[in-house]
Amino acid sequence: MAAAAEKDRSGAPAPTAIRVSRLSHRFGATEVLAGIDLEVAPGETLALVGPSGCGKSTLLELVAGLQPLQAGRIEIDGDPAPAARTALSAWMPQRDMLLPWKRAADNAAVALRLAGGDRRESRRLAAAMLDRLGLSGFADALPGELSGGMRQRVAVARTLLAGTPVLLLDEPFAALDAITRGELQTWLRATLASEHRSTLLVTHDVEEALYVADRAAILTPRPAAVAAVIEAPTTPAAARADAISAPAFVAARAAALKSLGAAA
Amino acid sequence: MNGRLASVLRLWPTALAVLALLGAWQLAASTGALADALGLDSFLVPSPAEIGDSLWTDRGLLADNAWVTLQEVVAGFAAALALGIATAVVLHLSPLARRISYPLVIASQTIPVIVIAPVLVVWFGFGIGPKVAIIALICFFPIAVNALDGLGTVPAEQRKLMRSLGAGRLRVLTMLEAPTALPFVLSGAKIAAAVAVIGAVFGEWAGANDGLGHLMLVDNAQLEVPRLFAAMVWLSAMAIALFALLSMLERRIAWWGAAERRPPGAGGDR
Repeated sequence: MAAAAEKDRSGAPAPTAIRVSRLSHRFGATEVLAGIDLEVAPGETLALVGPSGCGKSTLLELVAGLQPLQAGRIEIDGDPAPAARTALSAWMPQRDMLLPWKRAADNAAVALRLAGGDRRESRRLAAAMLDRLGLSGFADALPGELSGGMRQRVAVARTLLAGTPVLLLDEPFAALDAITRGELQTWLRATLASEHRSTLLVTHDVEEALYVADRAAILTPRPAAVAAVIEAPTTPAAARADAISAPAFVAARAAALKSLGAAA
Repeated sequence: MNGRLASVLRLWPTALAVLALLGAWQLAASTGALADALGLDSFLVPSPAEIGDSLWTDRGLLADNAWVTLQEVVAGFAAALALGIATAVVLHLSPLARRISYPLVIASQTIPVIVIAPVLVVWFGFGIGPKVAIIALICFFPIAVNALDGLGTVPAEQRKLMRSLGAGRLRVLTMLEAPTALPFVLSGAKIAAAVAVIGAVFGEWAGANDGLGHLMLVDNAQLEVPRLFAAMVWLSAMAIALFALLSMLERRIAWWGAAERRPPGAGGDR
């Protein structure tokens, strides 16, 4: 949020963490992305909202350098090389993908271990992160012993511990029930606010987009293009129920739903 | 209910069935009914009691030969495990190697072992060499195919995640694919364990001075039918013991796969 405001004040373009320009992609004869332009400022969270199957996940994998680019350009911190984008970003897929044989702390510590970290020290850092994310006492739990919401938190911890400046979150809470999802949205919002990472958050939930992110890019159905970018209202750190019923939030949600409807 | 008690109770039907079978066999053999029905002399159709007697009186001879066969089985099985896993890893990592040599892996299973065994004895001599080679040949296939399938069950999304978290190809293999394949490898090893003893017998038939297979050949020639059956009991016991050992290992080191065979992270809410 701070970064977006800064841009307005100075009038000059702020440095960009993620820049996507004229990005198009197709699977065989099916066009999934049609000329996407996006920018994410450092520390900013941009939500990508669109109907299911519109190509949001593909967009995220392209940014992460996990799929070869067909047309257009993607930069992270000014670097277009796929290997650099993979190194500078941490991707979180829809399913938690925890390794069933590793305890929660070891799952969260995967990136640390891959970076050559000592096992003990990595575990300690991971356990501290789990504490911070409200999972104290579960460092030694196996994924099979955790609830869906807890597993999702471990997956977020794993993503954060990669230590990359860019986070790419693909519908992190889509598989959860409404109550857990609401709780985790509050939690993610606070977590992202304290982390100062640049984040792309894919979701099909307008409310989640406007509540968790700073801005929401509304995408059209396949092939996806940006229909509108909506600023999230600056809601003070209030309870989620209050925040999402504030008049500014209701107005933003109405605008977002309108452009989603117009796009469809 | 107590888990141990429950598993003992579950074994009851099996125990009863075996006892009933042995009882019927004993009755049929001791009255001569079985030999008459088969049109054979009664000394050719041993009763369970006669086999039990041979197990006891020939225990030294049987144990000595079983020890020889056990060494062959363990060595051959270990060689198959190493070769099978190595082959699976190479074929998994290289699509080209897979295209070239997967047919050869399958062909290895079509080799008629009984025919090739004498040739191997000519090549490697009367020692343990040809037996190990034959056992390894038989055990290789289920291990290699299961390991390859196991390595292939990792979803592409999971591999992408590891890459995103900084893993190179080798770390994806060691940290993700190898543990995922472990339960599959152990399944293959269990199948291999059951057939390994047959390989040992084939090997010993082709040329050996000792071992249970050799003993069975001698017993066959001398019409020592009860001892022949006693040797079979030893062979079965060996295969069952190896199988049980692997099952135990599976529960110990691959517990997540034994409980539910599914790719990692596929689980939903609990």
